[in-house]
Amino acid sequence: MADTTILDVRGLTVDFSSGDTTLQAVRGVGFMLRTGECLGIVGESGSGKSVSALAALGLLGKDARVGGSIRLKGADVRGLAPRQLRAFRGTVASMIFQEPSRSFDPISSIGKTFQETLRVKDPGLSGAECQDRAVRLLSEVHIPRAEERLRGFPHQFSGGMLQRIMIALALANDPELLIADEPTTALDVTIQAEIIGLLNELRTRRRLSLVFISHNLSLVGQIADRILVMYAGLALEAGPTSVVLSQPRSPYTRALLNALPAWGSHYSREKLRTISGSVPDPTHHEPGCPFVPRCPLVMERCRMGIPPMVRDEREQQILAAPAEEAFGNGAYRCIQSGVKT
Amino acid sequence: MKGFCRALRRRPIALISFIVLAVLYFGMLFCEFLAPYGPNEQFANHSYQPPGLQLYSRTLGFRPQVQTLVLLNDITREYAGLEGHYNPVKLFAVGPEAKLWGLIPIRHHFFGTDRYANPQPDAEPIFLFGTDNLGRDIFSRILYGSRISLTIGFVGVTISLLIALLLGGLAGYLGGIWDWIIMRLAEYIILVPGLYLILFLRSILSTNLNSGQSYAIITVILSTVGWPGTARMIRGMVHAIKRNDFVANAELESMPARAILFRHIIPQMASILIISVTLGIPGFILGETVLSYLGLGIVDPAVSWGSMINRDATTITNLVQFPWVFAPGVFLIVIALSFNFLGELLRDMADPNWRERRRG
Amino acid sequence: MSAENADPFIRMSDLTKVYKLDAGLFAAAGRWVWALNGVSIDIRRGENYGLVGESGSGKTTLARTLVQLFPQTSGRIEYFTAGDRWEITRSDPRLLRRFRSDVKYVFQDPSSSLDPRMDVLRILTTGSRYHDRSPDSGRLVSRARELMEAVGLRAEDLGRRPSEFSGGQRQRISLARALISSPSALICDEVVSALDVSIQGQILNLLIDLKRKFHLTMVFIAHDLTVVSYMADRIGVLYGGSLMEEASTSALVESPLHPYTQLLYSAIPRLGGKLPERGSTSGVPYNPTRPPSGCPFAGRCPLEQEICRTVKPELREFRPGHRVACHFVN
Repeated sequence: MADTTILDVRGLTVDFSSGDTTLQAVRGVGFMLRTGECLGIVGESGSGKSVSALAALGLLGKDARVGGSIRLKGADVRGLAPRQLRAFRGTVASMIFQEPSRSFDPISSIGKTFQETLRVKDPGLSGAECQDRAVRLLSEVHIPRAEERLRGFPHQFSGGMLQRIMIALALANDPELLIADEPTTALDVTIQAEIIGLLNELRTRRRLSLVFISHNLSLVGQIADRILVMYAGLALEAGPTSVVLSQPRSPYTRALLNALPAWGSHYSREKLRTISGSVPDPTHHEPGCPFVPRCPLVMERCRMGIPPMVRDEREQQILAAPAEEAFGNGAYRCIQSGVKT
Repeated sequence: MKGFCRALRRRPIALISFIVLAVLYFGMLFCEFLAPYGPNEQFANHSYQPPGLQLYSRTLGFRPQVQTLVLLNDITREYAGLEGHYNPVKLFAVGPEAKLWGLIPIRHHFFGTDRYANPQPDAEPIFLFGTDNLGRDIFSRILYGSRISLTIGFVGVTISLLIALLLGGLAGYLGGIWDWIIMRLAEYIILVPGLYLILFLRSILSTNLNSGQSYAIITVILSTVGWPGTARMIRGMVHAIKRNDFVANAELESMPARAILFRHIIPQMASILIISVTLGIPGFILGETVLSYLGLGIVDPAVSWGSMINRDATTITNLVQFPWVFAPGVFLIVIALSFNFLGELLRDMADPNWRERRRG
Repeated sequence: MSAENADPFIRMSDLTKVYKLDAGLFAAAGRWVWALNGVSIDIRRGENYGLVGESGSGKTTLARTLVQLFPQTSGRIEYFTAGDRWEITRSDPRLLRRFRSDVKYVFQDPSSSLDPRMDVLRILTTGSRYHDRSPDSGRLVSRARELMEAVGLRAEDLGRRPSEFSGGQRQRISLARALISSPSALICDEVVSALDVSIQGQILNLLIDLKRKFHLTMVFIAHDLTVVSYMADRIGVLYGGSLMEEASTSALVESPLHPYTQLLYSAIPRLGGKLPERGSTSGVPYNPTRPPSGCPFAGRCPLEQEICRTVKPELREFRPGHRVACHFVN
């Protein structure tokens, strides 16, 4: 299978307006994804990471104003009619969400839910065929006793099982792209590890492209080839996972890495290096870099305008392949990043 | 408060309702002054007289005035105007003796004709809404009657709400057997159709009651029938609010149960309660109206809008021949609608979704 | 924390909590939930005790039973103070009140732990007004101001309502409220889990500062082993309502003995580390509606044998200060 660009997002902006207040959820984000790649989008609340993903699949409601270009397998998502968009969902791109228990119809059995999903692509499938395919999908996500499970209802399953079933449903119509929005946040850490392992396995086996959204930088590091760090609606850093995690250029990324205790540290020996302040209000963005109120390196210049995304010149030395046009291959947004902290 | 004024301006019908209610309640407060005559003052030879205000005549030109009327037919109560005899309507005219709020004696009323200052054989009283069969000014009776009709709503709703708060609050907070007992009691009361319950309760009491007693009885009966619905709502809300961590924290701070209920739980429901009261008042007013209409409420000499309808607007022939006797009914409709529109506005104000959409 | 400072402060012996699931009129016979099965823990004065467990482990049940938000089904809670030993139950309200003002519980959810209709001053002082016979409101207000500053907020903000604060700031207010009665201990139940990552560190640092300033004993409950191992001197690992392992932090970090603790470790996403390739499901998770028999971890344990399903392993002291409940750890 040739390498194609599955998802190409440039200059994405999303605004929500109600009355005369406008909420700028996303203020300029770009990323690209090829077959079999995994992009991790990391950000806290208000960063715009989930909204970006929803925009990519055209899932935002009418009250959202979307700007920029979003291309799914070459087709402009914003220009598609709702019917065409629906043809993409599930067959080209799928999405799974944070709360598995809320993603299911509580009065439909699992088998019925699979039937519904499979018949979106293939309306003529018989009940037996649906059952067969569902059983195969469930075994792919390592759920034992699949036939029995198909008769069950969502409330009978644990969160981890439901998330596996959710993944199976998302892959039912063989999409090429899977977007996972905080899929393990509501799960126990041991189950989380299993789901990550499962996603990794599926990626390799199906050559699936994956967008993994989370607030947990180290978790994303376990699965993503490249990481995009978002804050207050902007991308602040992007690059290969190894680079972003070991030599981050954006002070925000560095702060995120230091925010939680390192394994083996103890309060009696060291204090946590925290960032003061809190995440900005999405309805009132100050001019300049959004991280200004909390940044240890802040200068007057930082307040004067949003710094542009700059390509990481180290990229050339680290990657053998030539750097690409779009962001996402090593770039950061900070005029101070050379300063050592 | 500021939010309220802003919201009023954005919804004209609620603003109108608010003004209407303000005017009516103002009128109720100062009814002795605003009404030209007493509620039981009979004008012989003026029974079933039609409303009489004119703005123009050849004799007096452009001014508010009343033409002297002469009774033509005793049976059909047909009146004819006396040519050339017009009585000007004056502001702050002298009228019958009255005591504002029962305390302050006054002789001047808001408006009137010269009938009392200058007694002449044909000096005509001003009947804005005509008279009833005893020749009593309906406008004045409406004003005096508003004292009962407009207040019984508030008093009744307040008592009903207090009962509902106490019982609903206890049921929600204590749970268990108390919850069960109180809710079953509420349900039994709800089971009985309200109208029949009111009638039943009223009929088992003596019919010979003076007006003060009957006011009290009516209030008690309406409150008894009204509390269960609100109590169930309050009980549900208390159950939900109880689950919040700040309630658990209050327990851990060793606050006594009733303090937790009244300081932490009930205040969360404040806006809902205000709305419930506002939307409940018309129901109580109409409840009193029904009782009085059926002869079981306010009786002469006390006046309420319901009793006025009972006396004068009961037959179709009456209504057709003397349509002005339905004036109290119009007022009732206006009051009910006004409270409803206002209550709707208050309810929307408390709804965070509505507030989000209309912000700015 | 060295063993010489081992003053017991709170002793929980064999705590068990069983809930009855409400059976409606048309349901079959009522079912039970075994949330806590015979947990015994000593909290020592001055230490930070970390309690780690996943959902359903019973850690919140344990914390709430400790302050008697509901009574335990069986087991004892003892409180050591002023040289005396007292048993804490709901049937002695005066003792319970004293215990509750000395051992304060801090809640997880910043959006529901503060009364939204009260201003911060009232939130902080309402509890005290019911405590003292004759509360001197001037003194209360100045104490409230002191505590606001101690938790990193401004005294001027006492007139504001919770909705005007961010999640992290609300947790600070919760802490100030807990400290107003000058307690000796704080029970922190997942106090940072609902906060943004960049804020969590602030609150953790604050907790340590407060601990040092006010000489607090702390019970720190969380599901994140990394955070717990940073904050705690000793750690107890809960699973399925039972204590699986308990040791000093350094011992637990260096050599976790129980298979569940080892599983927890391997599941932590670490920078530079790699999660084990394990896409398959982990076996049978603990089912709290079945009467407990054997080891709760049996369904998921790589070392599982017949005996694990029938005989519950005792919590035995493997090394001084290091207890493990497993048949195969000698």
